[in-house]
Amino acid sequence: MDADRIEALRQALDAMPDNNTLRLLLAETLEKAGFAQEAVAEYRVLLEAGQLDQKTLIAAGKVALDVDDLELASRCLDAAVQAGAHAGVAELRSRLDEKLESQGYLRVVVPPGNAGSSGPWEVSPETVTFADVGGLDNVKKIIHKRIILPLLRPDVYQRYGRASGGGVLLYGPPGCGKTMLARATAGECKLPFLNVRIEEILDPYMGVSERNLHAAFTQARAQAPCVLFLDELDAVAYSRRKRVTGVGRSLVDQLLQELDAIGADNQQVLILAATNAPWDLDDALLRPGRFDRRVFVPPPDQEARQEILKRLLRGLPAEKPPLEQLARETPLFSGADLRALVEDAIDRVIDEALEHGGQPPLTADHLEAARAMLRPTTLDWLERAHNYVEFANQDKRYDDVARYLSSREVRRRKR
Amino acid sequence: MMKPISGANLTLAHHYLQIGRPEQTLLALQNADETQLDDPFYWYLLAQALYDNEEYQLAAQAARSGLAQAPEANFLLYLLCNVESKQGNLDAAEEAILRALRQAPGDPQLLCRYAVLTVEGGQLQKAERLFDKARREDPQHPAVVRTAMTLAYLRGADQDVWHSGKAALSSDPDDVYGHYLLGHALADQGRFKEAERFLVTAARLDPGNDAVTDGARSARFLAHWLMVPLWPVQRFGRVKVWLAAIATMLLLNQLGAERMFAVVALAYLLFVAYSWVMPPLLRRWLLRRRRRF
Repeated sequence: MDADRIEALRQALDAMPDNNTLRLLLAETLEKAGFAQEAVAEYRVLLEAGQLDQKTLIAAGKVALDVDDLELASRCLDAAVQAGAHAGVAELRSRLDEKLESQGYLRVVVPPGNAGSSGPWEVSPETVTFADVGGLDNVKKIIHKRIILPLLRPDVYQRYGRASGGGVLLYGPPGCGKTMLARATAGECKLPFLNVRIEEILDPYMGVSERNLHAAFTQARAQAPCVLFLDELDAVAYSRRKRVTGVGRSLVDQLLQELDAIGADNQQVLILAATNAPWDLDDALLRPGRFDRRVFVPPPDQEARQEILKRLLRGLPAEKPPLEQLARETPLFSGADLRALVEDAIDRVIDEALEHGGQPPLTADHLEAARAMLRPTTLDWLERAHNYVEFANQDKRYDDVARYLSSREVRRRKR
Repeated sequence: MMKPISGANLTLAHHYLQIGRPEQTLLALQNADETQLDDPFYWYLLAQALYDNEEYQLAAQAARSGLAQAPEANFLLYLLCNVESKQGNLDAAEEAILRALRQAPGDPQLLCRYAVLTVEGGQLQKAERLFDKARREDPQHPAVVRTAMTLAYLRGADQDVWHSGKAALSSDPDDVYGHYLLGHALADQGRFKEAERFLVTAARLDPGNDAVTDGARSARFLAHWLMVPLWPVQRFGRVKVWLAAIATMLLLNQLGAERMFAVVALAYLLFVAYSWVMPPLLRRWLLRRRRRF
C-alpha cells in the first residue's frame, strides 16, 4: 500500500514539481515506509524552498540525524529555532551534539544570532505582519488602535498621560490565531519578538522558575523596544484562589512584580500574552497597569474563513473550489479546523488516486465530504464561555464574548 | 506524601495536572525516558491525568503499574480507589482503600473516602462509624467537613446539612461544594428563593462545572415568580395536592355549598392547566440562549 501511495505521489509531483504540500506528503510517507534517505532528499528540497514549518523542521532534522546527514540536521535545527520552535528543539539539539561528539567534532556554543541578544531567550526580528493573518479585520483594527499606535506615536499619547508599552491580553478559543496575531503585532511595529513559554520557565528546583521568568523580563528590558510574548498565560499565572496547593503561587507573585516593574522600567516593552482560559487567570493580573487591555480573538468570520481557505488551497490541483459556499457552511470553524478540513480533503483525493489511478483534482465533493465529518473544535470553548458569561460576568470582563455569543453567526449554528 | 519531582517533563506534567489540564499533562508525559518508567510518581501523574480525562480503564492500569513499583504508595492506592469506584468496581475500590488504611489507619482523608465508598455500597451506618472515627482524628480537616455535609444530605437530615454547610462556608466562603449542597437541601425543602441564592453563588464560583451550572439554572427556574402558583405541587407533590383538592370538593358537596364547589372545581381545573402549560414554556424561555451547539 505504501509503495502504491509513494508511486502515486511521485507521479503527481512529476506533474506539479512546485507543489510543496504534495512533496511534504511524499517525504512523510517515505519516512513512514522506512525510506529515510529518500525522505531526507525531499525534506532538503522543502528546506531550500523555505516550506517547512516548525513541527516539520524538527521532524526533518530527526530523520536527517537517523541517516547521519548532520549538515541537514543542523540546518533544520537552526531554521526551527529561528522560526520560534520550542517543542522538540532541546531533544534534537542534544541528539545532534551527541552525534557530533561521537564523530570527533568539537561542540561550539554559538550565542544567539541577534546582535542585541543578551540572555537565554532567542530574540528574533519579527517578519510576520497583519497581511499574513487571514481575516480578523476587526481584531486587527483594535490592535492597531490600542497597541500599535501608542508605540508608533508615543508623543500623542504621552501628551495625554498615556504611556506606550504595558500589557495586552489576547484571549479566545484555541486555533484562532492568537499567537500569529501576537507575532504580526510585533512585525507591524517592526520590533524584535521574545517568545516565553511555560516549559522554558518551569524548573524542578525551588526558586529557579521565578529566576527564569525574571531573566526573560530583564532580557526584554535590555533590548527595548521589543515585544515580550507570554504564551499560555493561564499556565504561568493560574489563579491563586483556585490552587489546591501553594506550589506555583510564587511564580504568579514574580510575574506581578515584573509587570509592575518593581525596581526596573518596562517603558518600551510591549508585553503581549495569549490564553484560551481567561477565567483561570489570577485576578490580580487584570488590574489596571497590568493586562488592562484585553482583546477577544473570536473564530474567523465568513469573510476570514474564505480568505483562509483560499490560502490553504493555493498551489493545490483543485477544480474551482466553491470557497464562498464552503466558508458559509463552516461557521465557528477555527483556522486550525479549516486546515484540518483541507488536509482531510487532500487525503481523500490521494486515496482516490491510489484506488482508481490517474491524478484526480481536489473537487467540491472532496471538500464537502471532509466538512461533513468535522465538528468545529471551538464549540467546547464557546459552551464553557457561555457559562462564564451567564454566571461570572459581574465585572463585565466577558462582555466581548457575550456580544459574540449573541451574534448571528453563533445563533445560526445553534439552530 | 510524595517525593520531589525529577526531570523537566515531570515538572511540566505536574504543573499542568495541578492547574487542571489533563491533556497537556499527558502530552508532557509523552517525553518520559526509560528511567522515569521506574518512578511511581510518573505513574501517579499518568493515572491522575487519565482519570481527570475520564479514561478510567487506562487510569486503573497506570495506577497498578505504579503500585507494582511501590506497593505501599498511598497516593496511588487512593487514586486507584477513585478510579475503581468510578467504574462501579466497588470491591476493588474497597480493597485499594483498605490497603491504604493499613498503612495510615488514622488518616482522616482515607477514612472519609472509605465512608463515601460505603455509602455508594448502601451501608450508611458503616459510613457513619467511619466518619465518626475521621472526625475524632481531625474535625477541621477539609475532607471531614465535606463528608459531614454529604452524609447529612444522604440521611435527609436537613438541620445537619444546614449546620455542616454553614460550618464549611464559615471556614471557606468560596466553598463551591458547600453552596451547592446547601442549595440542593433547601430546594428539597421547597425553599426555592434561598436555594437559588446558594446555587447561583456556586455557579459564579465555578462556572466551568456543568453539574453546578445546571443546578443553578434549575433553581432559577423553580424560583421564578411564574412558578409561585405551583409551589404546593413542588412542596407536597402532585398526588397530595390532587387528593387535597378532591377532598375539599367532596366536603363542599357534602355541605351543599354548590357555588363554592363550582369555584373550587374551576380553580383546580385552571391550576391543572397552568401546571401543564407554564413550566415547559417558562423553561424554554429561560433557557432560550442556553441551547447547545
